[in-house]
Amino acid sequence: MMHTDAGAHSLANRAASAFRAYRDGETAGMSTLVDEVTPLLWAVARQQGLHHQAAEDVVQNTWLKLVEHAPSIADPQSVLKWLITTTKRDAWSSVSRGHREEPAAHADVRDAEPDATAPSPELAVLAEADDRLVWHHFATLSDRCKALLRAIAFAEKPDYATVAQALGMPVGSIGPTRGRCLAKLRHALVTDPRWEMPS
Amino acid sequence: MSATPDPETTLAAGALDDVDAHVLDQLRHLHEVVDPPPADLVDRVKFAMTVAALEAEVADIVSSATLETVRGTDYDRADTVTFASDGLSVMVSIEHGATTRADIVGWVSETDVEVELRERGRTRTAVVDEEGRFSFTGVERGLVNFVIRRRGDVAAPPIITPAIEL
Repeated sequence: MMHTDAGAHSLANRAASAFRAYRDGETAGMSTLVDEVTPLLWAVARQQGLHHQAAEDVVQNTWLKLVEHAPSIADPQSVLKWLITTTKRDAWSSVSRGHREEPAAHADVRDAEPDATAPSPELAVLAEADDRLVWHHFATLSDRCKALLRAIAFAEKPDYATVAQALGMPVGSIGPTRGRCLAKLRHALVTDPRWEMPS
Repeated sequence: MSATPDPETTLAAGALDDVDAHVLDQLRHLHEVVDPPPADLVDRVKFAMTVAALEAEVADIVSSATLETVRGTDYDRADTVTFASDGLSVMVSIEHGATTRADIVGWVSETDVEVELRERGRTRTAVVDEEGRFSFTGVERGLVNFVIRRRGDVAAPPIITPAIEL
């Protein structure tokens, strides 16, 4: 089923038209596709619990597989999902080859970093007070909620559904209602007097 | 205080709005700042894809004047770089003019080859002369690769050089 609700500017649509151009013989289309989608694939690989080097390898291999499988992808509109699921699956197998249990939400390497309540390197790179505040409240959520919100926040609004679905998040985990995880975060922010509600 | 049982439950059942989009945008931004993809990942991916698509041999950089750190994935400004692969070597020298463009003069250790210059967004080809020389003028600054093909042996895989920055 096509996601007709995704706007013309959604990443899914931009990816589809770049991929279509590539298949029509414009090599620049692939270059555009790599520029647009690599940051998202990086985030996906990292969320599966991969360390830097392994995440780089998985992302690079996903692209090599796309070159190989390009002719067999029937619907260019599905290329973003194809890239996300390939990255996720390969990241899983890379993690299990490393003799670790299948990554659950808690396996996110970014959560394994030092105690979230201590001044962390993450906080040090966040210059804006507002950023630090959001990070602080995000850090207090359950691992399951962190994983879910990350998965949604990987994408921009028109792509929430596509990305969450490709990552195997439960249907209805985002939209039309905001769900419990986002509600928790939002409640924490709204009741924090330091947080400035966007106008 | 209102009698509403639990503000989170009420919020959870509410429809997504602009404030949610803003919060999620901020979260995405945070993760991009805290854990960005490596700066050269995109360039390396593109290079690997080109190699795969061409089924090419990748040449090694064997020497470079003025640049210390070109090793496959690190780029630096080069003046003279020598590449080698499969018994063939290529030396290129880059002349930076006053403009944003540079001229490239090169020499290949074989004479029956053609050299393709891959710039961002376009490619050009030159056939080497009887002494193995070739040149490209007015090359836009940025990352470039060379692809070398042996004309006498169409079955031989082309040789691609790592990217260098002009």
